[in-house]
Amino acid sequence: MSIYLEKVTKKYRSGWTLGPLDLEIEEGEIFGFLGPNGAGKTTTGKLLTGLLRPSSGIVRIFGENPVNNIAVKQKIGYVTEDNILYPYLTPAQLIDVIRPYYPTWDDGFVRASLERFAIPPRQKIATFSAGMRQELEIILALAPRPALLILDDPTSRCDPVRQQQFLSLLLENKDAKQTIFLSSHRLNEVERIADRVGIIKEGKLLAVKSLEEIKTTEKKVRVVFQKEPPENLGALPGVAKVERVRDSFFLTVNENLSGVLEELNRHPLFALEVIDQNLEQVFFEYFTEGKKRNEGNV
Amino acid sequence: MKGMFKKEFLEARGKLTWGLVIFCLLAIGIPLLYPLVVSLTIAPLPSEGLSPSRVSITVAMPGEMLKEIERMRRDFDYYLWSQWAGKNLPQAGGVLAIILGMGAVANEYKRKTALFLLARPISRAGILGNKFAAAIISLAVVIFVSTLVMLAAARLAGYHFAWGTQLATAVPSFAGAVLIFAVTAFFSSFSPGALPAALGGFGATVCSVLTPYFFKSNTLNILFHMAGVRFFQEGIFPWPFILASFVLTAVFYFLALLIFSRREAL
Repeated sequence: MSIYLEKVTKKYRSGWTLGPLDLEIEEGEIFGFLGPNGAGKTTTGKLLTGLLRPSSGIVRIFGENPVNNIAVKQKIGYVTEDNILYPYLTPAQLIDVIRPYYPTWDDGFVRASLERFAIPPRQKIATFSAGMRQELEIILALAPRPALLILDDPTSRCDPVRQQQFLSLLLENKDAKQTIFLSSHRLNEVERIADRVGIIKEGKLLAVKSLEEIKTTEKKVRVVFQKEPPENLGALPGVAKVERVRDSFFLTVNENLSGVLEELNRHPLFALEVIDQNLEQVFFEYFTEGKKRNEGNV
Repeated sequence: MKGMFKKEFLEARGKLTWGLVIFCLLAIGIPLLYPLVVSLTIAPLPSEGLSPSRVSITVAMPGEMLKEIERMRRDFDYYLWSQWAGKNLPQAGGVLAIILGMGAVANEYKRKTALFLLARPISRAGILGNKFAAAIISLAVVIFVSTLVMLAAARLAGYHFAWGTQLATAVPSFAGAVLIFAVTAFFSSFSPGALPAALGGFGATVCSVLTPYFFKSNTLNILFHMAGVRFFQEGIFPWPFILASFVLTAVFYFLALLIFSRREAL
Protein backbone atom coordinates (compact mmCIF):
# COMPACT_ATOMS: atom_id res chain seq x y z
CA MET A 1 0.00 0.00 0.00
CA SER A 2 1.35 3.46 -0.90
CA ILE A 3 -0.59 5.65 1.52
CA TYR A 4 -2.17 4.68 4.81
CA LEU A 5 -3.82 7.21 7.12
CA GLU A 6 -5.51 6.09 10.32
CA LYS A 7 -7.48 8.56 12.44
CA VAL A 8 -5.05 11.31 11.46
CA THR A 9 -5.66 14.76 12.89
CA LYS A 10 -3.70 17.97 12.70
CA LYS A 11 -4.56 20.78 15.06
CA TYR A 12 -3.39 24.32 14.45
CA ARG A 13 -2.98 27.03 17.07
CA SER A 14 -5.80 28.93 15.39
CA GLY A 15 -8.11 26.12 16.46
CA TRP A 16 -8.64 24.76 12.94
CA THR A 17 -8.40 20.99 12.88
CA LEU A 18 -7.96 18.53 10.04
CA GLY A 19 -9.50 15.12 10.39
CA PRO A 20 -9.77 12.58 11.73
CA LEU A 21 -8.82 11.19 8.32
CA ASP A 22 -8.85 7.53 7.37
CA LEU A 23 -7.58 6.76 3.91
CA GLU A 24 -5.87 3.94 2.06
CA ILE A 25 -4.41 4.35 -1.41
CA GLU A 26 -3.08 1.37 -3.29
CA GLU A 27 0.08 1.18 -5.38
CA GLY A 28 -0.47 2.37 -8.95
CA GLU A 29 -3.63 4.29 -8.14
CA ILE A 30 -4.36 7.88 -9.19
CA PHE A 31 -6.25 9.51 -6.35
CA GLY A 32 -7.94 12.88 -6.85
CA PHE A 33 -8.34 14.99 -3.72
CA LEU A 34 -10.99 17.65 -4.09
CA GLY A 35 -12.00 20.49 -1.85
CA PRO A 36 -12.31 24.26 -1.70
CA ASN A 37 -9.62 26.58 -0.33
CA GLY A 38 -8.95 25.97 3.34
CA ALA A 39 -10.52 22.50 3.30
CA GLY A 40 -7.28 20.78 4.33
CA LYS A 41 -5.84 19.58 1.01
CA THR A 42 -2.44 21.24 1.48
CA THR A 43 -2.21 20.12 5.11
CA THR A 44 -2.92 16.55 4.02
CA GLY A 45 -0.20 16.78 1.36
CA LYS A 46 2.29 18.07 3.93
CA LEU A 47 1.41 15.23 6.32
CA LEU A 48 2.05 12.74 3.51
CA THR A 49 5.46 14.23 2.74
CA GLY A 50 6.44 14.40 6.42
CA LEU A 51 6.62 18.19 6.39
CA LEU A 52 4.08 18.17 9.21
CA ARG A 53 3.66 15.79 12.12
CA PRO A 54 0.13 14.62 12.84
CA SER A 55 -1.38 15.73 16.17
CA SER A 56 -2.72 12.21 16.48
CA GLY A 57 -3.14 9.13 14.31
CA ILE A 58 -0.86 7.22 12.01
CA VAL A 59 0.64 8.30 8.68
CA ARG A 60 2.43 5.61 6.70
CA ILE A 61 3.97 5.93 3.26
CA PHE A 62 5.03 2.56 1.87
CA GLY A 63 4.61 1.29 5.43
CA GLU A 64 6.92 3.89 7.01
CA ASN A 65 6.59 7.16 8.88
CA PRO A 66 7.65 9.89 6.42
CA VAL A 67 8.83 12.43 9.03
CA ASN A 68 12.61 12.95 8.64
CA ASN A 69 12.73 9.67 6.69
CA ILE A 70 15.26 9.95 3.87
CA ALA A 71 14.46 6.53 2.36
CA VAL A 72 10.75 7.38 2.07
CA LYS A 73 11.44 10.84 0.67
CA GLN A 74 13.58 9.33 -2.09
CA LYS A 75 10.38 7.67 -3.31
CA ILE A 76 8.26 10.84 -3.20
CA GLY A 77 7.90 13.62 -5.75
CA TYR A 78 6.17 16.68 -4.31
CA VAL A 79 4.77 19.74 -6.04
CA THR A 80 3.17 22.59 -4.11
CA GLU A 81 0.83 25.28 -5.33
CA ASP A 82 3.23 27.98 -4.11
CA ASN A 83 6.14 28.93 -6.33
CA ILE A 84 8.82 28.11 -3.80
CA LEU A 85 11.90 27.73 -5.96
CA TYR A 86 15.05 29.70 -5.20
CA PRO A 87 14.87 32.81 -7.41
CA TYR A 88 18.62 33.44 -7.42
CA LEU A 89 19.42 30.00 -8.86
CA THR A 90 19.13 28.77 -12.43
CA PRO A 91 17.31 25.48 -13.17
CA ALA A 92 20.71 23.85 -13.80
CA GLN A 93 21.99 25.00 -10.40
CA LEU A 94 18.81 23.88 -8.66
CA ILE A 95 19.13 20.47 -10.29
CA ASP A 96 22.71 20.26 -9.00
CA VAL A 97 21.38 20.91 -5.49
CA ILE A 98 18.89 18.03 -5.40
CA ARG A 99 20.09 15.48 -7.96
CA PRO A 100 22.77 13.90 -5.71
CA TYR A 101 20.10 12.86 -3.21
CA TYR A 102 18.12 10.71 -5.67
CA PRO A 103 19.64 7.43 -6.84
CA THR A 104 17.03 7.14 -9.62
CA TRP A 105 17.38 10.64 -11.07
CA ASP A 106 16.69 10.69 -14.84
CA ASP A 107 18.86 13.31 -16.57
CA GLY A 108 17.50 12.45 -20.01
CA PHE A 109 13.94 13.11 -18.87
CA VAL A 110 14.95 16.46 -17.36
CA ARG A 111 16.71 17.61 -20.52
CA ALA A 112 13.81 16.58 -22.74
CA SER A 113 11.21 18.13 -20.45
CA LEU A 114 13.03 21.45 -20.09
CA GLU A 115 13.14 21.60 -23.87
CA ARG A 116 9.49 20.57 -24.21
CA PHE A 117 8.32 23.33 -21.84
CA ALA A 118 10.84 25.83 -23.28
CA ILE A 119 12.51 26.39 -19.90
CA PRO A 120 16.02 27.85 -20.29
CA PRO A 121 18.31 25.87 -17.96
CA ARG A 122 20.85 28.66 -17.46
CA GLN A 123 18.53 31.57 -16.83
CA LYS A 124 17.74 32.74 -13.29
CA ILE A 125 14.44 31.43 -11.96
CA ALA A 126 13.60 34.97 -10.80
CA THR A 127 13.02 35.89 -14.44
CA PHE A 128 10.49 33.08 -15.04
CA SER A 129 6.73 33.50 -15.16
CA ALA A 130 4.66 31.80 -12.43
CA GLY A 131 3.62 29.14 -14.96
CA MET A 132 7.22 28.38 -15.91
CA ARG A 133 8.22 28.08 -12.26
CA GLN A 134 5.39 25.65 -11.68
CA GLU A 135 6.38 23.58 -14.72
CA LEU A 136 9.96 23.47 -13.49
CA GLU A 137 8.74 22.27 -10.11
CA ILE A 138 6.74 19.52 -11.81
CA ILE A 139 9.76 18.42 -13.85
CA LEU A 140 11.92 18.31 -10.71
CA ALA A 141 9.27 16.22 -8.95
CA LEU A 142 9.06 13.74 -11.84
CA ALA A 143 12.81 13.51 -12.49
CA PRO A 144 13.64 10.97 -9.76
CA ARG A 145 10.93 8.64 -11.18
CA PRO A 146 9.14 8.65 -7.80
CA ALA A 147 6.95 5.77 -6.71
CA LEU A 148 4.57 8.32 -5.18
CA LEU A 149 3.74 11.71 -6.62
CA ILE A 150 2.04 14.19 -4.31
CA LEU A 151 0.70 17.07 -6.34
CA ASP A 152 -0.89 19.99 -4.54
CA ASP A 153 -2.76 22.04 -7.12
CA PRO A 154 0.10 21.54 -9.58
CA THR A 155 -1.44 23.47 -12.46
CA SER A 156 -3.03 26.34 -10.54
CA ARG A 157 -0.76 28.81 -12.33
CA CYS A 158 -0.71 27.13 -15.74
CA ASP A 159 -2.78 28.26 -18.70
CA PRO A 160 -5.08 25.64 -20.35
CA VAL A 161 -2.47 24.67 -22.98
CA ARG A 162 0.22 24.12 -20.36
CA GLN A 163 -2.28 22.27 -18.19
CA GLN A 164 -2.88 19.82 -21.04
CA GLN A 165 0.87 19.46 -21.57
CA PHE A 166 1.28 18.74 -17.88
CA LEU A 167 -1.38 16.03 -17.87
CA SER A 168 0.19 14.43 -20.93
CA LEU A 169 3.59 14.51 -19.26
CA LEU A 170 2.14 12.95 -16.14
CA LEU A 171 0.40 10.12 -17.97
CA GLU A 172 3.28 9.45 -20.37
CA ASN A 173 5.64 9.02 -17.45
CA LYS A 174 3.39 7.06 -15.16
CA ASP A 175 4.24 3.41 -14.87
CA ALA A 176 1.90 0.77 -13.48
CA LYS A 177 3.36 1.01 -9.99
CA GLN A 178 3.46 4.75 -9.60
CA THR A 179 0.86 6.20 -7.25
CA ILE A 180 -0.40 9.74 -7.76
CA PHE A 181 -2.10 11.84 -5.08
CA LEU A 182 -3.51 14.79 -6.99
CA SER A 183 -5.15 17.53 -5.03
CA SER A 184 -6.70 20.05 -7.32
CA HIS A 185 -9.33 22.71 -7.89
CA ARG A 186 -9.54 21.72 -11.52
CA LEU A 187 -12.24 19.09 -11.62
CA ASN A 188 -11.75 18.31 -15.31
CA GLU A 189 -8.12 17.49 -14.56
CA VAL A 190 -9.07 15.06 -11.80
CA GLU A 191 -11.96 13.58 -13.81
CA ARG A 192 -9.64 12.93 -16.73
CA ILE A 193 -6.99 10.96 -14.88
CA ALA A 194 -8.17 9.84 -11.42
CA ASP A 195 -9.25 6.33 -10.49
CA ARG A 196 -10.78 7.43 -7.20
CA VAL A 197 -11.60 10.75 -5.64
CA GLY A 198 -11.81 11.97 -2.07
CA ILE A 199 -13.88 15.01 -1.24
CA ILE A 200 -12.79 17.09 1.74
CA LYS A 201 -14.63 19.97 3.37
CA GLU A 202 -13.65 21.92 6.49
CA GLY A 203 -11.05 19.31 7.38
CA LYS A 204 -13.43 16.37 7.14
CA LEU A 205 -13.33 13.74 4.43
CA LEU A 206 -16.92 13.64 3.13
CA ALA A 207 -16.60 10.84 0.60
CA VAL A 208 -14.12 8.56 -1.10
CA LYS A 209 -15.42 7.02 -4.29
CA SER A 210 -14.18 5.68 -7.56
CA LEU A 211 -15.10 7.67 -10.64
CA GLU A 212 -16.98 4.60 -11.83
CA GLU A 213 -18.97 4.62 -8.61
CA ILE A 214 -19.76 8.30 -9.03
CA LYS A 215 -20.99 7.70 -12.55
CA THR A 216 -23.18 4.77 -11.56
CA THR A 217 -24.46 5.76 -8.11
CA GLU A 218 -24.38 9.55 -7.91
CA LYS A 219 -27.61 10.54 -9.68
CA LYS A 220 -30.18 13.22 -9.62
CA VAL A 221 -33.82 12.15 -9.78
CA ARG A 222 -36.46 14.59 -11.00
CA VAL A 223 -39.94 13.71 -9.88
CA VAL A 224 -43.31 15.45 -10.31
CA PHE A 225 -46.04 14.15 -8.04
CA GLN A 226 -49.71 14.16 -9.05
CA LYS A 227 -50.71 14.94 -5.48
CA GLU A 228 -48.86 16.26 -2.43
CA PRO A 229 -45.37 14.73 -2.02
CA PRO A 230 -44.70 12.30 0.83
CA GLU A 231 -43.56 14.08 4.00
CA ASN A 232 -40.35 12.17 4.58
CA LEU A 233 -38.91 12.45 1.07
CA GLY A 234 -35.52 13.67 2.34
CA ALA A 235 -35.29 10.81 4.81
CA LEU A 236 -35.41 8.04 2.18
CA PRO A 237 -32.29 5.84 2.42
CA GLY A 238 -29.75 7.02 -0.19
CA VAL A 239 -31.24 10.51 -0.64
CA ALA A 240 -28.69 13.16 0.28
CA LYS A 241 -30.67 16.24 -0.60
CA VAL A 242 -34.03 17.40 -1.93
CA GLU A 243 -34.64 20.62 -3.82
CA ARG A 244 -37.93 21.94 -5.12
CA VAL A 245 -38.19 23.93 -8.34
CA ARG A 246 -41.87 24.81 -8.90
CA ASP A 247 -43.70 21.45 -9.27
CA SER A 248 -40.52 19.39 -9.71
CA PHE A 249 -38.54 17.80 -6.89
CA PHE A 250 -34.84 17.11 -7.50
CA LEU A 251 -33.45 14.33 -5.31
CA THR A 252 -29.69 13.93 -5.02
CA VAL A 253 -29.15 10.20 -4.66
CA ASN A 254 -25.73 8.83 -3.76
CA GLU A 255 -26.71 5.21 -3.10
CA ASN A 256 -29.71 2.83 -3.22
CA LEU A 257 -31.01 4.28 -6.49
CA SER A 258 -33.30 1.35 -7.26
CA GLY A 259 -34.80 1.50 -3.74
CA VAL A 260 -35.47 5.23 -4.09
CA LEU A 261 -37.14 4.74 -7.51
CA GLU A 262 -39.24 1.91 -6.15
CA GLU A 263 -40.40 4.09 -3.24
CA LEU A 264 -41.25 7.00 -5.54
CA ASN A 265 -43.20 4.74 -7.90
CA ARG A 266 -45.60 3.90 -5.07
CA HIS A 267 -47.03 7.38 -5.49
CA PRO A 268 -49.01 8.65 -8.48
CA LEU A 269 -46.54 10.60 -10.63
CA PHE A 270 -46.60 12.89 -13.64
CA ALA A 271 -42.87 12.46 -14.32
CA LEU A 272 -39.88 10.50 -13.05
CA GLU A 273 -36.48 11.07 -14.62
CA VAL A 274 -32.96 9.89 -13.66
CA ILE A 275 -30.22 12.41 -14.53
CA ASP A 276 -26.54 11.34 -14.74
CA GLN A 277 -24.01 13.53 -12.92
CA ASN A 278 -20.41 14.31 -13.73
CA LEU A 279 -17.71 14.95 -11.15
CA GLU A 280 -18.24 18.69 -11.25
CA GLN A 281 -21.92 18.33 -10.43
CA VAL A 282 -21.20 15.87 -7.63
CA PHE A 283 -18.54 18.22 -6.24
CA PHE A 284 -20.94 21.15 -6.19
CA GLU A 285 -23.64 19.01 -4.62
CA TYR A 286 -21.32 18.33 -1.70
CA PHE A 287 -20.28 21.92 -1.27
CA THR A 288 -23.65 23.57 -1.60
CA GLU A 289 -25.43 20.85 0.34
CA GLY A 290 -25.95 22.74 3.59
CA LYS A 291 -27.18 25.86 1.89
CA LYS A 292 -29.64 24.14 -0.42
CA ARG A 293 -30.99 21.87 2.29
CA ASN A 294 -32.11 24.94 4.15
CA GLU A 295 -33.63 26.49 1.08
CA GLY A 296 -35.52 23.62 -0.38
CA ASN A 297 -35.63 20.61 1.89
CA VAL A 298 -38.97 18.91 2.26
CA MET B 1 26.55 18.03 -1.21
CA LYS B 2 28.56 20.19 -3.60
CA GLY B 3 25.40 21.59 -5.16
CA MET B 4 23.91 22.33 -1.74
CA PHE B 5 27.08 24.09 -0.64
CA LYS B 6 27.08 26.11 -3.85
CA LYS B 7 23.48 27.11 -3.21
CA GLU B 8 24.38 28.38 0.25
CA PHE B 9 27.35 30.24 -1.14
CA LEU B 10 25.24 31.84 -3.88
CA GLU B 11 22.74 32.83 -1.22
CA ALA B 12 25.48 34.50 0.83
CA ARG B 13 27.13 35.99 -2.26
CA GLY B 14 25.59 39.46 -1.87
CA LYS B 15 26.49 39.66 1.81
CA LEU B 16 29.96 38.33 1.08
CA THR B 17 30.59 40.86 -1.68
CA TRP B 18 29.30 43.83 0.29
CA GLY B 19 31.12 42.64 3.40
CA LEU B 20 34.36 42.36 1.49
CA VAL B 21 34.00 45.82 -0.08
CA ILE B 22 33.14 47.53 3.22
CA PHE B 23 35.84 45.70 5.20
CA CYS B 24 38.47 46.44 2.54
CA LEU B 25 37.53 50.15 2.47
CA LEU B 26 37.83 50.25 6.26
CA ALA B 27 41.12 48.38 6.08
CA ILE B 28 42.66 50.62 3.41
CA GLY B 29 41.60 53.70 5.36
CA ILE B 30 43.66 52.74 8.40
CA PRO B 31 47.22 53.13 7.00
CA LEU B 32 46.09 56.07 4.90
CA LEU B 33 44.90 57.92 8.02
CA TYR B 34 48.14 57.37 9.91
CA PRO B 35 49.69 60.73 8.86
CA LEU B 36 46.67 62.46 10.37
CA VAL B 37 47.25 60.69 13.68
CA VAL B 38 50.89 61.71 13.60
CA SER B 39 49.97 65.30 12.85
CA LEU B 40 47.55 65.35 15.81
CA THR B 41 50.21 64.33 18.26
CA ILE B 42 52.64 67.06 17.22
CA ALA B 43 50.15 69.84 17.85
CA PRO B 44 51.46 72.11 20.60
CA LEU B 45 49.70 72.37 23.93
CA PRO B 46 47.87 75.64 24.66
CA SER B 47 50.61 76.91 26.94
CA GLU B 48 53.22 76.50 24.19
CA GLY B 49 51.78 78.97 21.71
CA LEU B 50 49.44 77.64 19.09
CA SER B 51 47.43 77.76 15.99
CA PRO B 52 43.76 77.89 17.12
CA SER B 53 42.44 75.02 15.02
CA ARG B 54 45.05 72.54 16.26
CA VAL B 55 44.66 73.67 19.84
CA SER B 56 40.96 73.00 19.77
CA ILE B 57 41.56 69.36 18.69
CA THR B 58 44.37 68.68 21.14
CA VAL B 59 42.79 70.30 24.15
CA ALA B 60 39.58 68.34 23.67
CA MET B 61 41.44 65.07 24.16
CA PRO B 62 41.60 63.40 27.57
CA GLY B 63 45.02 62.45 28.90
CA GLU B 64 44.58 58.73 28.22
CA MET B 65 43.75 59.39 24.62
CA LEU B 66 46.76 61.59 24.18
CA LYS B 67 48.94 58.82 25.59
CA GLU B 68 47.32 56.39 23.22
CA ILE B 69 47.94 58.64 20.26
CA GLU B 70 51.49 59.15 21.33
CA ARG B 71 52.01 55.40 21.44
CA MET B 72 50.50 55.04 17.98
CA ARG B 73 52.84 57.70 16.70
CA ARG B 74 55.84 55.85 18.06
CA ASP B 75 54.71 52.31 17.18
CA PHE B 76 53.06 51.70 13.79
CA ASP B 77 52.36 48.06 14.69
CA TYR B 78 50.43 49.22 17.71
CA TYR B 79 48.51 51.71 15.55
CA LEU B 80 47.53 49.02 13.04
CA TRP B 81 46.44 46.59 15.73
CA SER B 82 44.53 49.16 17.80
CA GLN B 83 42.58 50.42 14.81
CA TRP B 84 41.97 47.09 13.07
CA ALA B 85 42.05 43.87 15.10
CA GLY B 86 41.66 45.81 18.34
CA LYS B 87 38.56 47.73 17.30
CA ASN B 88 37.07 47.73 13.79
CA LEU B 89 37.53 44.08 12.92
CA PRO B 90 35.71 42.58 15.97
CA GLN B 91 32.87 45.08 15.69
CA ALA B 92 32.37 44.82 11.93
CA GLY B 93 33.01 41.06 12.06
CA GLY B 94 30.29 40.69 14.70
CA VAL B 95 27.83 42.65 12.57
CA LEU B 96 28.66 40.56 9.49
CA ALA B 97 28.25 37.36 11.52
CA ILE B 98 24.79 38.46 12.66
CA ILE B 99 23.82 39.37 9.08
CA LEU B 100 24.96 35.95 7.85
CA GLY B 101 23.24 34.05 10.66
CA MET B 102 19.93 35.87 10.93
CA GLY B 103 18.34 34.35 7.83
CA ALA B 104 20.14 31.01 7.87
CA VAL B 105 17.07 28.95 8.76
CA ALA B 106 14.38 31.61 9.27
CA ASN B 107 14.49 32.79 5.65
CA GLU B 108 13.86 29.26 4.35
CA TYR B 109 10.59 29.29 6.28
CA LYS B 110 9.71 32.91 5.62
CA ARG B 111 9.93 32.52 1.82
CA LYS B 112 8.57 28.95 2.00
CA THR B 113 11.61 27.38 0.31
CA ALA B 114 11.71 25.08 3.36
CA LEU B 115 8.83 23.22 1.69
CA PHE B 116 10.97 22.56 -1.36
CA LEU B 117 14.05 21.59 0.62
CA LEU B 118 12.49 19.51 3.39
CA ALA B 119 10.29 17.50 1.03
CA ARG B 120 13.54 16.25 -0.56
CA PRO B 121 15.59 13.35 0.84
CA ILE B 122 18.13 15.75 2.34
CA SER B 123 19.00 15.40 6.01
CA ARG B 124 18.47 18.47 8.14
CA ALA B 125 22.01 18.03 9.49
CA GLY B 126 23.24 18.30 5.90
CA ILE B 127 21.20 21.44 5.24
CA LEU B 128 22.36 23.15 8.43
CA GLY B 129 25.94 21.91 8.03
CA ASN B 130 26.19 23.48 4.57
CA LYS B 131 24.78 26.74 5.89
CA PHE B 132 27.38 26.80 8.67
CA ALA B 133 30.20 25.85 6.31
CA ALA B 134 29.30 28.55 3.77
CA ALA B 135 28.98 31.22 6.47
CA ILE B 136 32.25 30.26 8.20
CA ILE B 137 34.13 30.34 4.89
CA SER B 138 32.52 33.70 4.05
CA LEU B 139 33.64 35.11 7.41
CA ALA B 140 37.15 33.74 6.89
CA VAL B 141 37.39 35.25 3.41
CA VAL B 142 36.14 38.68 4.51
CA ILE B 143 38.23 38.86 7.71
CA PHE B 144 41.53 37.54 6.37
CA VAL B 145 41.36 39.08 2.89
CA SER B 146 40.55 42.53 4.32
CA THR B 147 43.36 42.15 6.86
CA LEU B 148 45.78 41.29 4.05
CA VAL B 149 44.49 44.25 2.05
CA MET B 150 45.19 46.53 5.04
CA LEU B 151 48.70 45.16 5.41
CA ALA B 152 49.37 45.47 1.68
CA ALA B 153 48.08 49.06 1.70
CA ALA B 154 50.32 49.86 4.68
CA ARG B 155 53.33 48.34 2.94
CA LEU B 156 52.61 50.25 -0.28
CA ALA B 157 52.38 53.44 1.79
CA GLY B 158 55.96 52.73 2.93
CA TYR B 159 55.39 51.52 6.50
CA HIS B 160 57.17 48.61 8.16
CA PHE B 161 55.43 46.28 10.59
CA ALA B 162 55.26 42.67 11.79
CA TRP B 163 53.17 40.89 9.15
CA GLY B 164 52.82 37.66 11.10
CA THR B 165 51.67 39.32 14.32
CA GLN B 166 49.17 41.50 12.50
CA LEU B 167 47.70 38.52 10.63
CA ALA B 168 47.58 36.44 13.80
CA THR B 169 45.56 39.13 15.61
CA ALA B 170 42.78 38.55 13.08
CA VAL B 171 42.40 34.92 14.22
CA PRO B 172 40.55 35.62 17.50
CA SER B 173 38.29 38.04 15.64
CA PHE B 174 37.46 35.28 13.19
CA ALA B 175 36.80 32.74 15.98
CA GLY B 176 34.54 35.19 17.81
CA ALA B 177 32.66 36.07 14.63
CA VAL B 178 32.04 32.36 13.98
CA LEU B 179 30.59 32.02 17.49
CA ILE B 180 28.35 35.08 17.01
CA PHE B 181 27.16 33.57 13.72
CA ALA B 182 26.37 30.26 15.45
CA VAL B 183 24.40 31.98 18.22
CA THR B 184 22.42 34.00 15.64
CA ALA B 185 21.80 30.88 13.52
CA PHE B 186 20.54 29.16 16.67
CA PHE B 187 17.97 31.95 17.12
CA SER B 188 17.19 31.67 13.41
CA SER B 189 16.34 27.97 13.81
CA PHE B 190 13.13 28.81 15.68
CA SER B 191 12.54 32.41 14.69
CA PRO B 192 9.61 33.28 12.37
CA GLY B 193 11.80 35.73 10.45
CA ALA B 194 15.34 37.01 10.10
CA LEU B 195 14.85 40.17 12.20
CA PRO B 196 13.97 38.45 15.51
CA ALA B 197 16.97 36.15 14.97
CA ALA B 198 19.21 39.18 14.39
CA LEU B 199 17.91 40.74 17.59
CA GLY B 200 18.63 37.49 19.41
CA GLY B 201 22.22 37.35 18.13
CA PHE B 202 22.76 41.05 18.79
CA GLY B 203 21.23 40.79 22.26
CA ALA B 204 23.46 37.85 23.19
CA THR B 205 26.55 39.73 21.98
CA VAL B 206 25.59 42.90 23.89
CA CYS B 207 25.00 40.84 27.06
CA SER B 208 28.49 39.39 26.70
CA VAL B 209 30.03 42.82 26.14
CA LEU B 210 28.29 44.22 29.23
CA THR B 211 29.55 41.49 31.59
CA PRO B 212 32.59 43.55 32.77
CA TYR B 213 30.18 46.06 34.30
CA PHE B 214 28.71 43.32 36.50
CA PHE B 215 31.58 40.91 37.14
CA LYS B 216 34.55 43.29 36.96
CA SER B 217 36.18 40.88 34.53
CA ASN B 218 36.52 40.56 30.74
CA THR B 219 36.33 36.75 30.85
CA LEU B 220 32.86 36.66 29.26
CA ASN B 221 33.36 39.73 27.06
CA ILE B 222 33.56 38.37 23.52
CA LEU B 223 34.73 41.63 21.93
CA PHE B 224 37.64 41.83 24.41
CA HIS B 225 38.81 38.36 23.36
CA MET B 226 38.19 39.04 19.66
CA ALA B 227 40.45 42.10 19.91
CA GLY B 228 43.36 39.86 20.97
CA VAL B 229 44.48 42.40 23.59
CA ARG B 230 46.63 40.01 25.61
CA PHE B 231 48.19 38.53 22.48
CA PHE B 232 49.28 41.89 21.16
CA GLN B 233 50.36 43.36 24.47
CA GLU B 234 51.70 40.30 26.30
CA GLY B 235 52.36 37.84 23.48
CA ILE B 236 49.96 35.22 24.88
CA PHE B 237 48.07 33.71 21.96
CA PRO B 238 44.40 33.26 22.96
CA TRP B 239 44.15 29.52 22.33
CA PRO B 240 41.61 28.98 25.14
CA PHE B 241 39.27 31.58 23.61
CA ILE B 242 39.66 30.18 20.10
CA LEU B 243 39.09 26.64 21.31
CA ALA B 244 36.12 27.70 23.45
CA SER B 245 34.64 29.58 20.47
CA PHE B 246 34.80 26.52 18.23
CA VAL B 247 33.42 24.22 20.93
CA LEU B 248 30.55 26.64 21.63
CA THR B 249 29.94 26.96 17.87
CA ALA B 250 29.55 23.17 17.73
CA VAL B 251 27.20 23.29 20.74
CA PHE B 252 25.04 25.97 19.10
CA TYR B 253 25.08 24.00 15.83
CA PHE B 254 23.67 20.94 17.61
CA LEU B 255 21.11 23.02 19.50
CA ALA B 256 20.00 24.64 16.24
CA LEU B 257 19.84 21.20 14.60
CA LEU B 258 17.74 19.85 17.45
CA ILE B 259 15.19 22.61 16.99
CA PHE B 260 15.36 22.60 13.17
CA SER B 261 14.77 18.82 13.12
CA ARG B 262 11.53 19.27 15.04
CA ARG B 263 10.36 22.35 13.18
CA GLU B 264 7.45 21.79 10.83
CA ALA B 265 7.01 23.43 7.44
CA LEU B 266 3.64 25.08 8.04
